[in-house]
Amino acid sequence: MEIKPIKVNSINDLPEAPVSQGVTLIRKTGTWKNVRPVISERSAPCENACPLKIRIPKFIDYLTKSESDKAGLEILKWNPFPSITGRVCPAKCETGCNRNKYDEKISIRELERFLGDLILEKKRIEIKGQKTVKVAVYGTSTSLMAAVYRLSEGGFKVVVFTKGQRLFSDVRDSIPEDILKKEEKVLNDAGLEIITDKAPSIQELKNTFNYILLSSADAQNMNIVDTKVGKTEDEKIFVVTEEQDIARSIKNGLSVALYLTSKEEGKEYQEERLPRVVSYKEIITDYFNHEKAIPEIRTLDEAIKEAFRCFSCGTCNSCGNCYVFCPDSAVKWIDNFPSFDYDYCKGCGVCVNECPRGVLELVPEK
Amino acid sequence: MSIKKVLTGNHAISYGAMVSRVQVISAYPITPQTQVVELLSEMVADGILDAIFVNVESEHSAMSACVSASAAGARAFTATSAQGLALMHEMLHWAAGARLPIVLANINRAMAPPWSIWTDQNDSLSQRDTGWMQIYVESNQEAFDSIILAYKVAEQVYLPCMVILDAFVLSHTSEPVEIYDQEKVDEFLPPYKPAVAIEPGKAFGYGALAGPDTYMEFRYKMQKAMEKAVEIFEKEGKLFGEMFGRTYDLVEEYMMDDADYVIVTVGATTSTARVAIQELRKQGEKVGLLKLRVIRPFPFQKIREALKDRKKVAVLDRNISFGYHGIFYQEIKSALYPLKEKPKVHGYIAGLGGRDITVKDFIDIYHDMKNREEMEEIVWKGVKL
Repeated sequence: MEIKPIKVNSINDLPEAPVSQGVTLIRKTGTWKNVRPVISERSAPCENACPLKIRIPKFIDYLTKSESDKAGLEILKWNPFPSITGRVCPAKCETGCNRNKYDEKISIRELERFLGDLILEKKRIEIKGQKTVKVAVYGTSTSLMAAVYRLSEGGFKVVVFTKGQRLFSDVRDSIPEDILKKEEKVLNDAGLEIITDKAPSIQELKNTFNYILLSSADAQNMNIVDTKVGKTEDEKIFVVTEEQDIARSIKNGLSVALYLTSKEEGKEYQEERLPRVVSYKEIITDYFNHEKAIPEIRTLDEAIKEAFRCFSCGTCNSCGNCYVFCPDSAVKWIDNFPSFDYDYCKGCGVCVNECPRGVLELVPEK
Repeated sequence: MSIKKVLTGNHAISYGAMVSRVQVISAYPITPQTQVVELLSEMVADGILDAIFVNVESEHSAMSACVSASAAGARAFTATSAQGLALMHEMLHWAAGARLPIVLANINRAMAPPWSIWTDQNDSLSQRDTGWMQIYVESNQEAFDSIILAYKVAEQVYLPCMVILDAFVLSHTSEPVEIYDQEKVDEFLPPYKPAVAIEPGKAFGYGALAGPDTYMEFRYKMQKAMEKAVEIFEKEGKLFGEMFGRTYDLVEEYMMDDADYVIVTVGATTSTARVAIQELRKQGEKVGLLKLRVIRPFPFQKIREALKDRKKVAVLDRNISFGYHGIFYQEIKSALYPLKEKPKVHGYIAGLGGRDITVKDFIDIYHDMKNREEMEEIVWKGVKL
């Protein structure tokens, strides 16, 4: 729309009754503001409590939009084995869930398991880049497999020495056989070489491989220099620490893999930190109904129903409150997501007050 | 053919609205007005009047409904009294500012507290500066006639108009009223065309924002419309006389030809004053009467013309502007200010809250005025000191 000012030189330029002659868009009322709403960087207590930092509100948001594949893929970005953790993880996310203070937690682990199983058929490792670097993985624990998964993704040539054990040896008792078979297949399809009949010494491996990954169970005599990424005094040998919490173990495996990837790509490895957590006090509970959690999720309908209970702390789930409540129509709705027209936003803060999940905040104008 | 009916002032107003073919009526009941819209609602229900009757929960909403109806191009009508009119206040400004020729019948009732249902003019005079035209009537026939005339003038200058009559003295008192032939009224009062027509598909904002660069121009236009309304009231009042036999002006003179002394009245007390003037004339006193009919637009030239070369003027106010004086007293005085030789003007406050103003009161006022020297002093007629 063309916006130009109406020039009034005499009363003859005006109608008898005071009706609009143009659009008021000519007046950029946004200049009045001294604060502006922005989409703030916040995180949910669940994702913060998760050792793997799975973006829980994000995958739940996909679920509420019935995009279960996208939800599954979102989990895979952070956790290669949701079918495993979805069964045996201690689920600190659920302990942290803000909804505990309202009625009951969201059944996050159930959702993870359900989506993990759902995506398992379609799951495959997308190999990004090709490296001449060879990694020997000495052992079969889930945490080592997590490292294998990420290393394969990164284009490393990975060989697993199993000492006669099957992959995922540590969870064989807890996870159904068919699930683990599929997980094995995913790794095999990515070109993983498994050597079961030989158990070479570390020294032998060091001659043929650039890096050697050990499980902490097999590295009791090793001196670990950097526990976060498993560095030892020997720069070729890395140790993945096994912990009681399987999610933490997987995290350790992933950290080693990411560290090596960064190192090979000449980048600096950085451990990820999530922004400030949205507290329960910041949730406007008026917008939610009391509803019990679904303890066991068997169907997609149940999963979606449970997903709708989520407060989605700190993650915009396109609820549209800001758009609806903005008294100046300064919140625009683009691609199912809010954006601000600062030419007309007066900084009243109604959007911030009405965001039920702490996504928006007011920042001072410069 | 016209017919004569015996009607209360309230019902005369209803008939006035009926023959004016009002299309939207929205009102909230309040004594002493209720009968006006009660009869109108019956007319609508009986199919005698082709209009929409909008029930509302307050006078503020009643005027809001009239505002939107009038903006949409419908002839809108409402009626109220006292506290009801006060509650409408915001929307009265809206109607005038949006240049919507709504007609409102206000039955003058004293403002509370103390609670009162009887007549005085403070309710309508509190709304004097809203941009509404105001006609004060003396009889039920004049009430009926003034509704038709109000629409005729309002729809030419695009300003709303109040027709104002005294509680009980007129509103609940029956008098013969001539109801004119509908065809003749239609001939006098053509259908209403709004200043800016609302059309589907053509979007604009009514009552839109005007910055400091344009607001004053709209106010200037309103004042010019008021000024133009003086001429139109005179012209249409004459035409009304030609068509229906009753001529109206903004002021009316009675026995003024050789009068040295003049009493100025507004509303139903004028009839009482007429009797007092007749008696005083019999006694050889040179006294006349000036009735103010339209007070907005204020006909100061006509007043000046009527009162120049008189010795003294007594103004009867059934109202008071607390801290100064009667409101008409102030306005008459200001109208005479440009004259070189000014008559002395004395103000009398009487009949507040419906207290009777008798013929004797007017005779007393006349003698008081003749002997009084000091202006500005408020004479409280009949107050129990």
